[in-house]
Amino acid sequence: MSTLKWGDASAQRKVLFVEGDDEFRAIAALMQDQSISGLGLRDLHGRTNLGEKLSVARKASGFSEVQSVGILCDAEQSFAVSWSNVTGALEVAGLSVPAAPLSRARGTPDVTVFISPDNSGNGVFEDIFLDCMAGDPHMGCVEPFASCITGMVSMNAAHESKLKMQALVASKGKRLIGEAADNHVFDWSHIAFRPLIEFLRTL
Amino acid sequence: MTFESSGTDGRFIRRANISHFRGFKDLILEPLARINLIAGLNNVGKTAVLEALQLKNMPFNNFMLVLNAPVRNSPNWGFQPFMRGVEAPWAAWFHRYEVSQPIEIAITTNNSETSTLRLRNLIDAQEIQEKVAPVLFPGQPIVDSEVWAFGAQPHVLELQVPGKQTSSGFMIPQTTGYIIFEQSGQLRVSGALPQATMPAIYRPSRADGNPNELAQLFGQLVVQKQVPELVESLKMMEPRLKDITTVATPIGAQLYGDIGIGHQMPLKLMGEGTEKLTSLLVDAASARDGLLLIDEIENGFHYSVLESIWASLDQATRQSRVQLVATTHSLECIAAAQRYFSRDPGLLPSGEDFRVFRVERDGEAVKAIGFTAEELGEALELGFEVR
Repeated sequence: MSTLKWGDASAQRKVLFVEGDDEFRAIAALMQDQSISGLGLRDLHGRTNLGEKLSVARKASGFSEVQSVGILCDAEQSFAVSWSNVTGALEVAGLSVPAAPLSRARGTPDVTVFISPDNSGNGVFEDIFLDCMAGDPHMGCVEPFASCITGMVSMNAAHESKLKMQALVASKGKRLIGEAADNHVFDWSHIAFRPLIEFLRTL
Repeated sequence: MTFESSGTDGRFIRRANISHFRGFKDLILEPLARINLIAGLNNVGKTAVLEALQLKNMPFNNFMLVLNAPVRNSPNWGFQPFMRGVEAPWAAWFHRYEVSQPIEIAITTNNSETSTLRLRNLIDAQEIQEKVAPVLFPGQPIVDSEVWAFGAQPHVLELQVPGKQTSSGFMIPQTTGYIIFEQSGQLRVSGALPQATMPAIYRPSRADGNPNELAQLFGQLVVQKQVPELVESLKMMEPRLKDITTVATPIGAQLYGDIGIGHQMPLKLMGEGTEKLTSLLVDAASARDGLLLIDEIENGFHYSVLESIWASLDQATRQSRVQLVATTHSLECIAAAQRYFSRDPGLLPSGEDFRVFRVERDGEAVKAIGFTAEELGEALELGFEVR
């Protein structure tokens, strides 16, 4: 899935960088469901050295054709720190820096950033899916399971969200969000996905 | 900065600025490293980069060498094809065949010494007469009103190296020379033709190597006692190889290899890869303190030996303090170089030992985008296309 090349017709003008393979597969499934085309996905294999990675991306063959770049990152434990990291990386790479999440920074190319889960608070990509699955019957089992675990093991909120999500998708016979997304576990019309869909459409 | 930690006076080209040459209006390659790979689409000008560097380092004072220098798989310096009587033999060197503007090739070394070669195709009949009449008609007075008979005006290329002050304060005067191509086809030279900045050897991509020349260059390895190292390197292509020797044959000196079958075998029969690697390693030794330019370096090599090829070339070029500039289409070749130069810390700081440049067209302009080994590793890991 993560072998799209800049040269692919669908990936030339708009590119979305995501943190990992799970996000890559989930976004790809969402795009397919919503008939969003012309957007190339790139897996950054983690957010470490984001500035260097974006710098290299800028030098990659065909990048000069790209008109719009999106970056999808987790807020993790601090939205402010994550936002600062992303804007710092954009500066290092010589890319335009937006004033705020979802704000489009004009440049060559334009840049827009989405900080999961809601562009203002702390949290991770998985929180969007937990929101979507809040009414799922399996969540009645997942919540006590997570409480039990967090009662024994200290973990931050981001880690807890990942724990819940993995437990939930495991209960559906899947291992990761991406796999669950590929297998139609999620209702993409749920309100939880609207900001993300809007972000993808406006890139 | 030197190639070797021993403090030898190794120097290499740090910056090349190529103007109005072939497909380049103005191309800058910077910072060049000790080992450089040039990638890019077909017809973007990869080979032209090598040609420009070769041209800058031509021994114009020995013009026959220039004429015999191989380029673009042709036996000589691209003086053909051209429309005799209509255009100058060197017209194809000029950007878009616009011979009215000069070519400039400027190189700056790691010692911050800049040297420029300016080539100007003389057009004005009066100027041509002033510049070359003393050569063509020695002893005859130049008459202002004299004009060339119809169709007799020669093509004249002015080669100029502007004067400059060296870092040590020494003043080098400007030199100007002329190459005159008469309509009869005769070539003459006059004035002070530029000297080679540094030794430069160019290997075209598909031209058949000259076994005789290779054997002659091999002699230098014999003198320098480097044959065992060459044999060791060649074992990656032919593990049975024990020795290489020069044999005088009716068609000239040839290289033969001993592979333990009781009979020496011509190197040419050991496969393209063996002959190519031999040629490259011999070239590296021969271009001592200079420049080795290789077009489509991957040709003839199986992907599995590419990393070992880089190891051998790295060692050979270090020993001879040679800077290597090579073109490639092969991602396997680039990745093998990246693996080798990432693993081996090298003697130069990161980015000075190895770099890949992608030459790409941006409208009318052509630009070169450089990648260090680290950046290349990141790009390859992320699946970004660098060629």
